[in-house]
Amino acid sequence: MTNLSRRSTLAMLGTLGLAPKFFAAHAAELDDRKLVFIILRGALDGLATLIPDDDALNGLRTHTIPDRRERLDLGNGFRLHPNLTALRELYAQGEAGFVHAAATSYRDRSHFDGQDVLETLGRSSERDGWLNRVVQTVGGTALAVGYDLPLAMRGDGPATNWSPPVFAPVSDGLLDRLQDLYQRQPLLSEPLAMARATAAQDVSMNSVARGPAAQYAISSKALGQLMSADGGPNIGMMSFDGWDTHANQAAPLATRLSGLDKAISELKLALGTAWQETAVVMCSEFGRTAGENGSRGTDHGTGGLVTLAGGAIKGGRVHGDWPGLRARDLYENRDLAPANDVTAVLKGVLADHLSISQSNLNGRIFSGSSPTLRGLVT
Amino acid sequence: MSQRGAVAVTRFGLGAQPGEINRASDDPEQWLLSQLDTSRGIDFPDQALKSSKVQFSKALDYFQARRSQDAEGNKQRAFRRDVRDATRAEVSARTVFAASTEAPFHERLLRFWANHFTVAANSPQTRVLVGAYEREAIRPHILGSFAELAERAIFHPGMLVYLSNWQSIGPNSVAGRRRDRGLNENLAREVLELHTVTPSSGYTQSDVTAFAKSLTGWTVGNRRIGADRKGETIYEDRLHEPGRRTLLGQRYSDTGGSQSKSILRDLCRSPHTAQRIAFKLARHFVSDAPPTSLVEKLKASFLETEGDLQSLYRTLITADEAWVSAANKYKTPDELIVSTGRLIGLRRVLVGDAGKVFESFAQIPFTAPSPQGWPDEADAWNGPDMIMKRVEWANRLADQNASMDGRALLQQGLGERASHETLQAVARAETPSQAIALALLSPDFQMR
Repeated sequence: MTNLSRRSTLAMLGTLGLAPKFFAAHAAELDDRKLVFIILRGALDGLATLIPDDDALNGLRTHTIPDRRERLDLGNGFRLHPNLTALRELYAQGEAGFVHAAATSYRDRSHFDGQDVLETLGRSSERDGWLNRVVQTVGGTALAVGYDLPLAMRGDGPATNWSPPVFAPVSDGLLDRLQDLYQRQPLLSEPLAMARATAAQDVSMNSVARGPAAQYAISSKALGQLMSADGGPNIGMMSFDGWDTHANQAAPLATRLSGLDKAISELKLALGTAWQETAVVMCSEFGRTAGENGSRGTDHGTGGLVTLAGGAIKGGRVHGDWPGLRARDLYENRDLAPANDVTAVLKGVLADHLSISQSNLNGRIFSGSSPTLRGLVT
Repeated sequence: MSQRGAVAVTRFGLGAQPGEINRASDDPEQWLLSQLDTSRGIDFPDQALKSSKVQFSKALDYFQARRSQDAEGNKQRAFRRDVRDATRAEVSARTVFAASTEAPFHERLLRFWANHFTVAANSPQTRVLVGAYEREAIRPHILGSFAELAERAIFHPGMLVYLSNWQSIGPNSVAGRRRDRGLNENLAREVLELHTVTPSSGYTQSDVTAFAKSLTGWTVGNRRIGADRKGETIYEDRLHEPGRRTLLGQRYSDTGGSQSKSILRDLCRSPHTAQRIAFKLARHFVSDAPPTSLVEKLKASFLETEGDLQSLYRTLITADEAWVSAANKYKTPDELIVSTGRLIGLRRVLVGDAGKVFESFAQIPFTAPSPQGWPDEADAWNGPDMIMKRVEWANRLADQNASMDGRALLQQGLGERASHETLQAVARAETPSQAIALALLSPDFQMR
């Protein structure tokens, strides 16, 4: 366990010449509202996560959803996977909600294209991400916890990424000379400048996590600590991998959902009072097939699950439409139908939580005037 | 030493060993071509490594024992230790070989194809197979035809397990009618999308389903099916979905297990496949946005020769576009580790815990994040945190090896590709250690 105390973190930042000026320079005129976006890469099986009380499900699923008696009843026709106890608690307190059967405009079933669409939303040709465009619109800074900067965050707005140090910090002398040497190579000079400017405060975490699920919670804790620091970023992002459950999915999915549940708790804990002003949006590039495949798993599908959490969320309900699971309800006779639009959900959160105007939503962040799903935010 | 010699060694090869640029400079093209000579044989040291058959049958036995509850705690630990040791041996053999081989162009091509046909360790079953997969399915077949390579890769136990085909059962097959298991379309989809024709060919869900049905029956021998050929690829007709198929407008008669191979051969011949391979190869060697003229040359060669890989490589080597002096490709972490190892010795590169170096660079061999393989573009690897990790690593490496001469590293590692700015920065460094760090972190060495 590498525990970076506040002191050693500050000392490290000092050696790096990192006054938190990167964040401070962009922090003016912002209030405390925060947005966290989490991509569950690989396509979460929404039907095994938020399970409808629908008789048609019995004909579709045998091995891939938890036993009915174990599911956590939400009292509104839906039940949660038994490992999502913290999320159920948040739901009961009105701090978590869902939009089921949601999808982007993407209808093919490639993870990679699907994730590109989810991260760029409407402007894929430009290869810049919608979260970056959010930062450009509302001001502030964006921070991803992880080894690389996800596509959703790439672009001209101030966005950077962070992961725990492995080797000893480096002297200013070397960094200054490198900065100079990189002048003619923007591929290297810009990220180096960003890295030098990233202020990390009081972060404690395992440098080596065991298993993907443990990694979720560790990243969440770090992100919460970084975002709740003075002048910390207002937009955060994490990628949780490992949801592509093609075969014998019950056990690995259960492990990952536990990890996800823990991650939400850790995020809330680390954000402290900032949680009250935070909206968390989690989703995958698409959903999985309504029925299970021949290997007790599920294949790439269409309608997926969006999970909302945070003090700013109007929770305790499943928002949007539910398309049903009868054969004629399914998309292409196999997938949960895309009854709700992921972009509309994001627009709802951005409009009501970050007060972004419709003209900015339609003209600057997404393209075209698709609908906005209202009522997601308190 | 010549500029072209330096390009041959640092762009087409895996980075210079001391003296290598000199050796390549007489005739850089010939230096590359000689590495493709099939009579050289395969000199990869695999004596200590185990075959996929041995590895996978051992894993199957272990899982079987665990299911029937007769694997005690120490047996479990022993198995895990075994898997861990075998994985380490694979990573080590692969990395050490790349850092020392005298045919680094060949080795770069191996890595290119292993990445194109990615099998990653994402489960205990695949973890035991990844190393053997690369040695058995990819390494011996990268100098033949694309179709042959594709078939070897896709029907190897590693791929059949990684993309779930070994558990895919035709719903109307003999076994399918008796059991509650059925079709799994994972392999079919990825072959179409990633390995061959790509979505640009316009395939639909029904093409994916048809191909998935066709692939049923191809599995890996295990306790229940093909027990006498445990751990080997087998075709089992009882699992195969019978029937004729139509795929991308082409009809295929009901020929059992050879049907999917006929389909694959046609996919490999498609202009969409040629386009994809040409683009990926050009992107890998030249630039993230490769010149269209180069892609067209490679595509034409692929189509004319029905995917003959030797001709494809020759087309690449003889294309002017591939020899531009500017270094436009940002090295992946693996390329950085290997090229630094070639220059100063691998032991110095993997400072402290070797696994930790790979891990901190987020590119542990055999663990690509998805069937798409490791990204080949700079923007996946040049995030702020990743750059800083490289700086921290080079800084520590330089501190520990401060007796090296930064100027000599530039001379040996880059020859005439070292820029004036980098030479100057290294010459003006404050300390020998700083000079080493600057040489390794210079744009000239970080790019190829």
